[in-house]
Amino acid sequence: MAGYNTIRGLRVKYLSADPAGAEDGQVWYNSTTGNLRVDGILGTASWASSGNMSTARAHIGGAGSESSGLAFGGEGAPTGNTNSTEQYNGSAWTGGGNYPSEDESIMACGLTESTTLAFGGINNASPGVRQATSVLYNGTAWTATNSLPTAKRAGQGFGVSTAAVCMGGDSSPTAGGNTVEEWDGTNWGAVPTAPFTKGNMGGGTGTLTAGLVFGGADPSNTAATYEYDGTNWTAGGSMGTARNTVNGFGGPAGQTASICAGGDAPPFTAATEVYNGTSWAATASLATARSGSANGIGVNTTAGVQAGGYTGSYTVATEEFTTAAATKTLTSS
Amino acid sequence: MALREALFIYGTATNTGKGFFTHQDRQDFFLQGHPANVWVIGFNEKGARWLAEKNGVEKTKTEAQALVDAEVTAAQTAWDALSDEQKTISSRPSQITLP
Repeated sequence: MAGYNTIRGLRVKYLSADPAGAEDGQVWYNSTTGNLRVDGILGTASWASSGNMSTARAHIGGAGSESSGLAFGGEGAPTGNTNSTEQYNGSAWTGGGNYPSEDESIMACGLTESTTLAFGGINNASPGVRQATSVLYNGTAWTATNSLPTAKRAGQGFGVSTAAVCMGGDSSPTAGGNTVEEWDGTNWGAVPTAPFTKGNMGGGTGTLTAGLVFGGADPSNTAATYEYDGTNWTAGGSMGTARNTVNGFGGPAGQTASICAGGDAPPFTAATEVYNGTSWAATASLATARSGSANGIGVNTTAGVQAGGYTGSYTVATEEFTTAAATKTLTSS
Repeated sequence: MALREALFIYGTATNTGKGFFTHQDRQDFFLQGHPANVWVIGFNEKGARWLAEKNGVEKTKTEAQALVDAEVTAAQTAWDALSDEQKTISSRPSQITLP
């Protein structure tokens, strides 16, 4: 078996105190405490407040990362749907180019604010008209692309702006959604339907060939999780709390590492769960329970954003999720 | 003071955004936000100091519950007035019972 010296090219240091600025994975022996120590082990997760959004709303489209996030569209009082786009830099929101129409329940994917693909949704009319719209954001403005083959809202979007999946959602008030469309960077094409229905804004993470969808409604609230390999859907571990209008994030590795936060159970929940590729486990709860926050701002399970949503009123509040790296003592257990 | 109430501080404070509550705060004391800017805070020194530093106004549990109830009732009334189609998009806000 390879030793630490072989793996790292260094011997384990014998130190009287934990070193400042230790690197992730660095191991040393603390002679004062008599412990073998390692740095960079994931520590405690928590949600903290961050900069408020400008526009209070729910059922918000979202994409990007904790330092380059995007929130757009949604519904709010008193005027109904909004076309406002806001960009997040890790601490504050600034206005971006307006979404092409005043829609809510828009699906989206993308790893940064300037590589966001958004699709579907429902407008402000009564009754609402579902949208087949598909648009790309470049950091400044939205540009129309070829449309979805079916107008729908509140499904699960995942992937990146050049290769994405739109799973489920509803094309009418009563339709359960099991349709699946794939985006090749130019066109959306319908592919075989999923063997389950899922709508009302579950979470979607991962890539076109390694995707994950979870939560939402079928039409009852569901905890069900499914994995996608680009062709077939297989069941994954169920969440602890069935809920719709969640915030799901995880980025390209989402099939083995995703977060589901908040949603409508009902009641609105603060519960946050983390997926490891097999099962969901509870992690730190939001400070404020809410549903319909921007869905999908975060590209891993160590940092993400919960922006806006509905708590009983439309909110501008933002919380940021962090799992801090820590120094731990190695034990035999 | 009831035993349950002694476990928490109740108050109102406006969420000012970044820094309003920190990751360290979340480690130091229980904190739960509710409609009407109501916050339920773990009853320890750091929790009490947090509410004071945020220019919060301490409430009794009854007062805090009444504020939340009023906002939820208003939200329920608004939801009841929605069209049947709009009601399929979101569920009726539930009553919230403060811990």
